[in-house]
This record gives sequence, C-alpha cells and structure tokens, in this order.
Amino acid sequence: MDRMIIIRNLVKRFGTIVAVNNLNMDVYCGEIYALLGPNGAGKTTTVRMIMGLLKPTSGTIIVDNVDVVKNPGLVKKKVGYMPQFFSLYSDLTVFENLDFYGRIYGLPREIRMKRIRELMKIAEITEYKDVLAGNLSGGLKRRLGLAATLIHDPKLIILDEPTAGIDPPLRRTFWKLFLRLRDEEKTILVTTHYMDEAENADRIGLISQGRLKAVGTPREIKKMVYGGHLMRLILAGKNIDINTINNIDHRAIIDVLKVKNLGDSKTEVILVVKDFGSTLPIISSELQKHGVNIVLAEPVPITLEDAFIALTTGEMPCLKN
Amino acid sequence: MFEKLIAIIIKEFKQLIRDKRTVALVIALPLIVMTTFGIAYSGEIKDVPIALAIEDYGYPAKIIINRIMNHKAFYVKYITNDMDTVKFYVEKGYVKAGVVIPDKFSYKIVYLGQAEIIAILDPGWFSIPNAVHSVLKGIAAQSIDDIATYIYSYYGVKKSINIEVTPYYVRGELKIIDIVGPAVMGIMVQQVPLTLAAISIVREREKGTLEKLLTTPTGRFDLIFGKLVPYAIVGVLIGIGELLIVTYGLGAINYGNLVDITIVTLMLAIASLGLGLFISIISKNQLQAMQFSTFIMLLSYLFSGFLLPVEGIRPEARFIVYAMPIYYFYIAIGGITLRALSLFDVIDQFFLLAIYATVTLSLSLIFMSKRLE
Ligand SMILES: Nc1ncnc2c1ncn2[C@@H]1O[C@H](COP(=O)(O)OP(=O)(O)OP(=O)(O)O)[C@@H](O)[C@H]1O
Ligand SMILES: [Mg+2]
Repeated sequence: MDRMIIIRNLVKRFGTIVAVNNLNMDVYCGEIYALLGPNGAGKTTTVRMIMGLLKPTSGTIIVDNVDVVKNPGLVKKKVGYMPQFFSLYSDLTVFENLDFYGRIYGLPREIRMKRIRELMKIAEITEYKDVLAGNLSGGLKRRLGLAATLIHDPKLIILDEPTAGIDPPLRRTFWKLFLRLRDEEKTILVTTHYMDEAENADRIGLISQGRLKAVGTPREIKKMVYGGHLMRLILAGKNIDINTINNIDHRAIIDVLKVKNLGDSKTEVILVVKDFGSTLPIISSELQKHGVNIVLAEPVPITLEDAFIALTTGEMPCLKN
Repeated sequence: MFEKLIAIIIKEFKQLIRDKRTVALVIALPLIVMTTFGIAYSGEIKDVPIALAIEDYGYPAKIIINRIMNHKAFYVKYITNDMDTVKFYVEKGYVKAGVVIPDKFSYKIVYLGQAEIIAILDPGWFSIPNAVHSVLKGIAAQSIDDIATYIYSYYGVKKSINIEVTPYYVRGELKIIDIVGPAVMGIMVQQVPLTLAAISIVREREKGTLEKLLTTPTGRFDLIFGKLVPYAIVGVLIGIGELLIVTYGLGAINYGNLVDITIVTLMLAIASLGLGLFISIISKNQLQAMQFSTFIMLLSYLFSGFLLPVEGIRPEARFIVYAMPIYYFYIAIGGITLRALSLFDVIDQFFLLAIYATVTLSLSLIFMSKRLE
C-alpha cells in the first residue's frame, strides 16, 4: 500500500529532554492512524515536526513523497492540521475565521462560500455563524477548528487530540466524521489518549516516552499483550490441573494464565490462544480424550487500556474473575 | 490577612524574573537609556552647519571670520559674499544658521568703535538659534582684545570697542506649537504603527494562532506585508489628522502641501513598522515587545533631534539619533511645513527613511522563523 507519511529515526531533543526518541512510523494512504500515548509521550512534538513547525534534531519525515524537513513548504496545501489547542482568531466570528482560512488557501469566492456552508453544516455550527469564536463553548470551538482544518479539502488530515475535553456524544460525532472522511479516501493521523476511540482507527501506534512501542490494528495491538487472544473455559471433570492443559497440542495454546478449581468438579481455565475460533475445536476434542467436557467457552475481552498499560509500562493487567 | 497579597507579589516577581530577556528589558534598558542620555547630553553644541556671508574684508572682519571658521560649534558649509544668499540657505534648511559680517564692519569698528555681526536664525530648529546666538556673542567678546590691539598698532589709538550680535529670524518668530506640532506628529506616526507591529506577531505566537497559520501556504512575505498595510494606513491617518488639528484648530504654521506631507508620513509609518515587526520577531512575548516599543519611544523623544538638536549630542552618541526613523522624518516634515520646501527638497531624508524601511523589513523577513522555535 502507498504510504502517506514515512518517519525514520526521528529524534527531537529540547535541551536535555528527549521528547521524540528514534521514532519510526508509517501512515498508509487512506487509513485512520491513531497515535495513542499518555501525556508527554511526544505526540504533539511528532505532529509538529510533520507539519514543519519544529525542526527535528535528526531523522527524516516524508509526507506524500516530499521530504518535509528539507522542503516544509511543498505539502502545506495538501495537509489540514488542527493543533491541540484552539488556534483560530477569538475576535473574528465563526464565518470570518473560515473565510480567512479559505482565502489563505486561495479558494475562489464561490467555492469558498459553498465549502463554508457545507462545513458549517457538517460541524453543526451554522447557527453560530456570526458569533465571535472566542465566545464559543469548548466543544463548539473544536467543531470550528475541525471545519477550518477541512476548508481546503486536504488529502492528509492531522488532528492533535481533536477530542480532548469534549463530551462523549460529540466524540462519537467526530469519529463518525473521520470514518466518513476515510471513506472519501482521505488519510487521517489523529493523536489521542482515549483508548476507546482509538479502537475506531484502522491502525494504532502506541507511543510512550518518544518511542513507538507497538503498531497494528486494534485487534493486533490487544493480541500483542499476551501474544494471542484470551479464552476463558469452564471445564467439567475430575482431577483437572495444569498438566491436563499442558498435555494438549501446543501449537494452539500459547500460555496458561489461570487454573482455578471452582468445586463441584468444575474448573476455570484462562488460556492465551492463537485464535479463538480455530483453537476451540482442537482444545475441545483433546480434552474429551481425557474425559473433560467444556461447559462454557468465551473470549475474554482485552481492553485497549490493558494493552496500553501492558505495552507502555510492561505491567500485565490483572485478570478479573 | 496579607497572605493573598503576598502570594500575588511573589508570583509577579517570579514572572518578572523568569525570562532573562524580560529581566534585561525591565532593568537594563532604563539604565542604558539613562547612561546614554547622560553621555549624549553632556557635550556642548558641535558642528552646526552654517553659511557665512563675508561682505567686508578688513582685518577686524578676518579676526572674527577666523574664529568662526575654527570654532568647533560650527561647520561652515557655505561661504558667500552677500546676506541674501545666506538667508536663502537658512530658509531652505540647507544650513541651520547663517552669519553675516556686514559691509563696512571693519570701518565701523575702527572709526566708530561699534559694529555688528548678524546671526541669521531659523526658529524652527528648536534650541539651535539660542545656541548659535550665544556662541557668536562669545566669539565677539573674545575678538575684542585682538581687534583693539590691531587698532592700537595700526592707528595708535587705544579705544574701547563693542561688537553686537544682531539676531535676524527668517520668517519671523515662531509659536511653540509651530515647532512642536510636527514633532508630536512624528512621534505618533512612528509609535502607533510600531507598537501595533511589535505586538502583532508575538501575539499570534502567544495566543497559538501562529501554530495554525504557519502550517498554511502563507509565506513570510504575506505575513509581514499583510500586517504592514493596515497598520501603515492607521499610522498615516493619525499623523495627518494630528497635523490638520494642529494647523486648522490651533493655528500652527503649515506651508506644506498635503500630498508631500502624506508621502513623507507614509514612509515614516513604513520605516517604523519595519522596526516594530523586527521587535515582534525578536520578542518572546507581548510584555517584551511592549518594553521594546516604550524604549524606542523614550529614545525618540530624547534623540530625535527635537528636544536637543543632533549637533548638541556628543558625536560618539549620535548613532542613536541616526537609528531613529523619526530623526529623518523630523527634518523632512519641518522642511515641508515650516520652510515651505517641497518633497523634492527633502528627498534625501525621504530616501534615508526608505532605506531604513528596506533594512528593517528585510531583517524581519530574514529573521522571521517559519517554525515555532
Ligand atoms: N518547547 C519545549 N521545550 C521543552 N520541552 C518540551 C517542549 N515541548 C515539549 N516538551 C517536552 O517534550 C515531551 C513531549 O511533549 P509533547 O507535548 O509532545 O507530548 P504529548 O504526547 O503531546 O502530550 P499531551 O498528551 O500532554 O499533549 C514532554 O516531556 C514535554 O515536556
Ligand atoms: Mg500533545
């Protein structure tokens, strides 16, 4: 697949602070890539370097086949950027802000007016057209910021924590819009520290202390914590212990996390398996050979939060009973 | 009960000293201004360009002429043999004063013991007329003995003699408003656009709007000139408005035509904007930008050649005067309004302002970072 952004060995130091530490990252054309990381992970610094706002200490950044460290000006028309903090003019109205950015991108009057109308509708700010941007609520400011980012119909959209501090319904609205934009073949790079919304992304890059700790689809990321999926089984049979499980074909089972006697000839087992669907029949038939029946088999949901904590801190999340 | 008060006091102090540049601006700048002021203003008047009319070639006249030529207060730019030429030069502002040694000067001093030299003065040069007048009186007094000795040795008479210095004001005496009007206009035309410009870029930086703007296709040129145009217009409107009020409301003299005045004023506004934008680019925050612009305002009062003419400032400190856009403007606008000169007559000053604007704007373009750092 074509790559929209290619980052290699990117380093940014502020004095002694290493904000971005040898980062490698690819964003494919037409995907939503969520850069997920805790406060201070280096998300904003990375995004600012992509936008040419900060000069990398070392490393390369290629955006749409252009080296943006050497030629920061070349891709600006193709990229829409929404900074983490409100960056429009408080003393201009909603309309005036959009009109200003429309002009900056050289949109002819007719197209500009049409585009502003559309975007105000999409962002649901039409009724605030003549309100000063400084007087808008936090959520409305975000919507206006997003509209201004999209004014020139950029093919790459970079959003730095677009959903920070906004309520869940608006977050959902935003993500619906991102998905819609993706369907229009836009590429979106979005930073966040909300795990739940990152799950909507096509791929997630987990960033911590300026390094990319893991990359993949949300499913892949979760799998990475244990190296597979979690399967919870309630087994019925006598004398079940860890050896019963260990005797099973090893290719399907990666790890055994828990074996607990529930009494009444019932045992709870939690396994890490390669894949839930294909592994279950193998386990089931193997266990039956030893006279053990599966009473219940269910996947244990790993939240992205668990994955996040596990992958950024190295701590395995505790399993809830 | 004072805890809250103390908390605020401590916080303010901390904020004040957090950034080194702010500390420098708040503490060092006033000290620098005071020191330069002290040095600059401690000298005596020097190198005033004058024209000399020599209508008498007698020996006593030569004694006076010699002293004038060698006096460090004067720089004799033109020598002629008639008073009208000198008057013309002074009126046109080619020189700041003139001295006439009138016809029969030597005859009068020898035979009547009494003669005069004439000081051609332009009251438009704030403190120059007084200074020139008193220097000439000093020269006259010092020459008396030499002349008396000469008379004694040639004519064998001992005589008490007296030399008067008669002031002659071209265009008569001026009211204070005639002189102050253009100066105040200059300060405003310089200061308003300069302050607006000084804050402009650093404000966008502080408010975060620059972060977005820098990621758009706008270049340095758009940013700088986009800010320049409206501020320049505001500056010119304020300047012309002030001049009209002073002229028509307060009855100040104004021989200039509005087109010339507008063009020169516009040039000052642009030069000041250049300086302001440069300040905005090197300032870390709005506080610093304000400090800088207040500093420039103070300097332009002290060193624009208005309160004290450049000839009164020590030569070592004169570079400060030449670094003020208002210095060139003040000469040009004074020429146009008080001396009835045309734009063409003050074209030197106009071009110096243009060069000033070009240099400051180029520096702004060069130093303006397209990044956030
Ligand atoms: N201008 C700067 N000077 C010094 N240190 C900086 C600067 N900008 C960022 N940093 C440091 O770099 C690190 C990464 O900061 P960055 O803003 O990129 O994090 P982030 O992932 O965006 O965090 P958040 O989620 O809080 O926005 C932090 O330790 C921060 O303190
Ligand atoms: Mg950030």
